[in-house]
Amino acid sequence: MRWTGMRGVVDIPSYVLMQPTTLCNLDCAYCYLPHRAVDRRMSVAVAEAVADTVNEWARTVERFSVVWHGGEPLAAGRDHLAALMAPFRGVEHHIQTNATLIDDGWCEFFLQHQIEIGLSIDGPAARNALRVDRAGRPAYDRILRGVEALRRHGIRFAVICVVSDPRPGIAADLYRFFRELGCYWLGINIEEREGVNQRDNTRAEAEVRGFWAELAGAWSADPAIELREIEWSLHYLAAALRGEEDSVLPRQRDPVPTIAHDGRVVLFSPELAGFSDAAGYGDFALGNVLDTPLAAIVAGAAEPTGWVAEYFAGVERCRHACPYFGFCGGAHASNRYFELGRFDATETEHCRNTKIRLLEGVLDHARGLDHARR
Amino acid sequence: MPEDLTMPAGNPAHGEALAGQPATAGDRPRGDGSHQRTDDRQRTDSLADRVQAAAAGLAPLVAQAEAVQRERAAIAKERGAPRWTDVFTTQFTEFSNRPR
Repeated sequence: MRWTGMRGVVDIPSYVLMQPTTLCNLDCAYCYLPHRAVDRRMSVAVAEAVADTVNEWARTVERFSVVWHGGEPLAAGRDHLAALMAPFRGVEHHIQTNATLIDDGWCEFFLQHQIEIGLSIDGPAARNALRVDRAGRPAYDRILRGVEALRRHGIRFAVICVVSDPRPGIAADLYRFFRELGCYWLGINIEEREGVNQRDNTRAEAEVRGFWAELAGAWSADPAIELREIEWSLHYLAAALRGEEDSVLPRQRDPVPTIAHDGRVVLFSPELAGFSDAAGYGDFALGNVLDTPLAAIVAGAAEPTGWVAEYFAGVERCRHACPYFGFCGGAHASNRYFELGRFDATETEHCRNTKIRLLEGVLDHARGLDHARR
Repeated sequence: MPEDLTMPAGNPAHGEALAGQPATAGDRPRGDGSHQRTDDRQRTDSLADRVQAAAAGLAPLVAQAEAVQRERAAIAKERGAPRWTDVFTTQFTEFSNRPR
């Protein structure tokens, strides 16, 4: 197969990520974020500089999103977050939060600013044990209080769930939990070794495939939640059945601009933000919005240098070597670097756990259905 | 505010940067970047062949997914959300909520 998707970079991304503060009130064992213990806040000047470009982009495209991401964005406080949001026009705002600080006041803020909400929850209490505060206390009860507040105010929410020990026997229970929790959308992330998280993410193939196969079965039995991994797999597999698997990926790559609290911009992998001494790569930043327009920083990706050029070379190696390229678009930049120490490396444990074994697990489930029918 | 957000210095046990110090992405193993073969890849049949071999079981799953997606699209249209953009394709999976 000659894969033709993900060549070059789009002129206008679909969203930007903003880091209103580096601080998080939790200290999850697998967190990738440096500086999460300190409150380094984004200035309004940084937000205004980003908005100069984003407002123009939002006028040009049908839909543009500004995502307020971690640290824990609610730790910045409502007044400061409102001041950071004020310069933006014609965009959708999103917040990815650990939910522990959500109360009635925050819910009113979400409704007033029409903010879409994504929560980070790993399942029922026993499966949520890695989400703890700095004193090591479980965050689960505080998360549920936040969810209750959202329900009281009729605010819908999506969920990201990190699974550290994927294996058969837990996927159906997880899906049932989130069905009862009431999220409308669910993304499952197998724990990654990236950023400051150095925990080993090597997992046994049969266990991970079994996990995804079981999750496919749980979704199929009750497809009430939009389940990112399973539905994306089926979208790809439907195209593959028609012989159109090369049509699935976007034609060009989205640069996912991430603006750190101090205005520095990282492209492609937000997990690279916040580092200052990466061996041979500096701080990964491609500019700072306080001295260069965001549009110019993004446009610079069309003529890549440094780690971005190395990453693009890695993408081409994936394109030529990996039969799953049409499904995933190449190993993520951060996983290449944090697992393998360079950006032109190819297959990572993240590729195996979250792309290859996912697709094969869904195929396993489909084959099982066929055998059961016979 | 439900809790004190004034935090002590970072937790080195979690590899976290101490307050006021730079975060170091430091000494990573710099391999040769060659494609690594694992058990996942030790297969004699191709992915395309495996997909076709699973076609009978895949067909109802695909039909089910397309049906629920059509249903959601209709609801999304009523909400004024114009199109579906899945963040899976932007390769950043720690953001959950760009819905229809």
